[in-house]
Amino acid sequence: MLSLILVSALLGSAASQVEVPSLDYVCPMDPEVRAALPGSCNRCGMKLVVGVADPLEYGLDLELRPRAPRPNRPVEVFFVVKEPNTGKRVQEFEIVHERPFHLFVLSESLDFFLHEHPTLGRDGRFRFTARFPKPGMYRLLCDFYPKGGTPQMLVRTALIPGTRGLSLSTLPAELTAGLTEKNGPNMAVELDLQPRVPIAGAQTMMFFRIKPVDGFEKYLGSWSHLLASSDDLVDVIHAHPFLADGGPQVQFNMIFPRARSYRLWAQFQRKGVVNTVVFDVTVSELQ
Amino acid sequence: MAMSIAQDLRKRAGHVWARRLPLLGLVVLSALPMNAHEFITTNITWNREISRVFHRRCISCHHSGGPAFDLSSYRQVRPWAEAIKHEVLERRMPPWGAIKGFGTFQNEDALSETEIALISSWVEGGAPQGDPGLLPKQTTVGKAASLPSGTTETLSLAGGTLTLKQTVRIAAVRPETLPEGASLRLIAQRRDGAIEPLLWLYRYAPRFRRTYYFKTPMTFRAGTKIQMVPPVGSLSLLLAGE
Ligand code: HEC
Ligand SMILES: [Cu+2]
Repeated sequence: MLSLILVSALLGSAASQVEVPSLDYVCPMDPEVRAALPGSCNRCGMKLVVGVADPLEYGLDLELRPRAPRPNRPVEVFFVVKEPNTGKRVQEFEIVHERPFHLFVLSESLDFFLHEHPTLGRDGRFRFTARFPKPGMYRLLCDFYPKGGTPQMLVRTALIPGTRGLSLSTLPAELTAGLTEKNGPNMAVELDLQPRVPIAGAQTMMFFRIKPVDGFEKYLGSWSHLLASSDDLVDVIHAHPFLADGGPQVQFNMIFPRARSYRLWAQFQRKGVVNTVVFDVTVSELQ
Repeated sequence: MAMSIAQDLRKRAGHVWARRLPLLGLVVLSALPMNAHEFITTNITWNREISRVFHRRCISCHHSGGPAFDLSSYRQVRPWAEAIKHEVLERRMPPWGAIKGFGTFQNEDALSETEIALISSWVEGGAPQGDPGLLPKQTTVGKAASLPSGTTETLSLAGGTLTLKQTVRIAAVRPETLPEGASLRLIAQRRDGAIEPLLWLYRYAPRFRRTYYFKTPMTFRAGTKIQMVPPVGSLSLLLAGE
């Protein structure tokens, strides 16, 4: 822990054109986390790596079975990961936050959210069984880390037909901004933003405050998982806490890309129960 | 150029500094030249991460003598930092014009979510240059995808839906007449009910019109419906030869 030097201090703290020791070790998940010596990341636990990796994008094929699934019926979802240059099927993955594959599924109206973990089969395909509640477009954010590569965060699209084909919505999801306290099954969560109205392109600090704090525990190796989506499903962002220590406050930093409405799903675990709370925020244009 | 530097300064002053130090920030900034010491709050640097992304995704157009101004060195890039962040977050640059993950393409040159986050965090953190020893050795300008030739036949889709009369292999999609700023999704509804995403155009910019080549040509049987939502203009579907 001592070896870990975080230069990225809180926003607006010291000016640092000062010489820093050469911080050659970097967290593959979060390039802000650096260290002079080998070790693991204090935010996500990944082993720090040395050197500069070229972040190549892997291929990812999505397959549904049946190909024309019915709403609310089980569908088998398969993913095949392919090496970027050779196109060969990738079979080995790093374990990140206790799983080789994290999948988030969002419906077009943003009223459906799922955080799932497809499992790797003998045939080298990831699979899981889903139910898509309504006809329409679903965006699937896939988070995985092929061995020897770099962490991937790729989106795919599933289209679920209705009885008469598919009607895609041409309007953004309806969101109503509000930071009133939200309740999960065994936890209440408050959200405070700084600045109060986030500005597109600028850092927003998000302070989640949870209560009660007794029995608060990590969910899949992290104090919290956060997913943000714009109302048009163009920006889908997965984040982990910037600061969290098991106490009542969990801080995330995020740059909201555009001046639109965003929905946030924050997940916390208490006494073995996962609490998923939803907040909508409106992001403003830089004046 | 002078104009955009001024703009850049104004933006920086406006939101990185002024939020915390409303007066001081502005005064100090306007008194300093561009490369003066700034608050650096990030570990991401040009020499380490950002130059690599730019070489892959920007330099093919942004080099001296190219179609857009030079962005191949820190000195060229730094004055544009705020504008770069903005263009990248709004998905106007690189001008791919489509949303990733809705169809897969061989000539796709959009930024990944990770690259967008990297660039915007770097600019927000003061856009530092970093250790010169880490600059990439050779500059690999993004390889131009070798696109299939012999795509001669086209089908035209003008608004709404096209029902295929025979089995075809679609190699690519090309916007024809679409209003500036239009967004649309193109999908294929197969006879068995399966629906596939083909292309999601986002805020169409006619000056960056291009052809979208699928990773592999897609085969659709007679009766498949190709549908544009909303039906705002016309597209060509380029058919693959044998
Ligand atoms: C396919 C060619 C192409 C690629 C690739 C490309 N650009 Fe551009 N870019 C242009 C052109 C042409 C312009 C000139 C302005 C215009 O026509 O909109 C431009 C303009 C810009 C501007 C100025 C926008 C303004 O009007 O203020 C910025 C900033 C920019 N590009 C950044 C980037 C970055 C960063 C990348 C890579 C991540 C990139 N571009 C990739 C062609 C390209
Ligand atoms: Cu997960």
